[in-house]
Amino acid sequence: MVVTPVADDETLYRRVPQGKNFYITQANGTVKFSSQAFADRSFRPSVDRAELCHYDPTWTQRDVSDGVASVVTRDVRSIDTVVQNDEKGNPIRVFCANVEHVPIIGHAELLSNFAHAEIYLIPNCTNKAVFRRLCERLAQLVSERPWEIEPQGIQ
Amino acid sequence: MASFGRFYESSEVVSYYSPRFSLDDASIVERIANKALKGTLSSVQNLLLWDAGWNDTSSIPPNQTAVSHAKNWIVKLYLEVSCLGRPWMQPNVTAGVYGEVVFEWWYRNHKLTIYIGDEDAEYVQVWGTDIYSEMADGNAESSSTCRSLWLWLIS
Repeated sequence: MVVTPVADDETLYRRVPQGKNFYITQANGTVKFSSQAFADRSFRPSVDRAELCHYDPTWTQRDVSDGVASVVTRDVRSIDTVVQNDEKGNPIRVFCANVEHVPIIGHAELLSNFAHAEIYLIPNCTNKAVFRRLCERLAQLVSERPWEIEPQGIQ
Repeated sequence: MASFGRFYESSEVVSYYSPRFSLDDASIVERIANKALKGTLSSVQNLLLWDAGWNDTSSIPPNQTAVSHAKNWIVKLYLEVSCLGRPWMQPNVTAGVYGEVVFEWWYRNHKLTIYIGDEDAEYVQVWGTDIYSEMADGNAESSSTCRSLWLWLIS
């Protein structure tokens, strides 16, 4: 499997499992996504490259009730003010976000997925506070776009 | 709410609330808080039903300790908001991948996220898109911080 660069204009799909309260629909119909929709213990949220799955968001569903949200790579890469502070609140490290193609092939636990990509920070980040802020921004970005697939059933 | 009495009798709460009502009134306060927070407390309790790997293969579900802590914390916040005479808003309730209970509120351009672990409570405030200058985080355990966060949220 060839690993290819992710272009700025590529759409990325993110699975939103139904029933986990990863979004709310406000009274005016606006959908707000939870930052937990991008939480990831490895600090690298998974997405699927729309271009490599024929622009079919059902590719990203694990269950038919799952929703699929999307974000554009350019918007992710525009996140360049992620700062880690020291205990006194002084900035000590600046991160920027990026997306890379990480196809899953022959994994013991995961289904093969050649469209799989990951959002990550440069330099590598394992700081929870920093990652939480990134998740807040990613949630804002997906909230700005319509559902690719709306979850089924009552939230 | 079995632990409500113990929570209410804790020194911090007694010292703050004693001018307003006596410990004899604890059952009345308990009933009021229970009624107002019925849906939220139920949602928090239901997190115990989530399985390991509830979001991805590495997600940890909240445990009993985190759930009890979250229930006590949300009751404390509710009482703080009541004493301030400010309106209450039900939070979105979900979980973090490390087994935290996560509360979230959206109000106008303000977003507040609270992470409740076994022993700690942490917040992320968001009031814009810039991660460095329009987001803040910290510890959310103290009553004064809870009050400040709520006043900020609804401002």
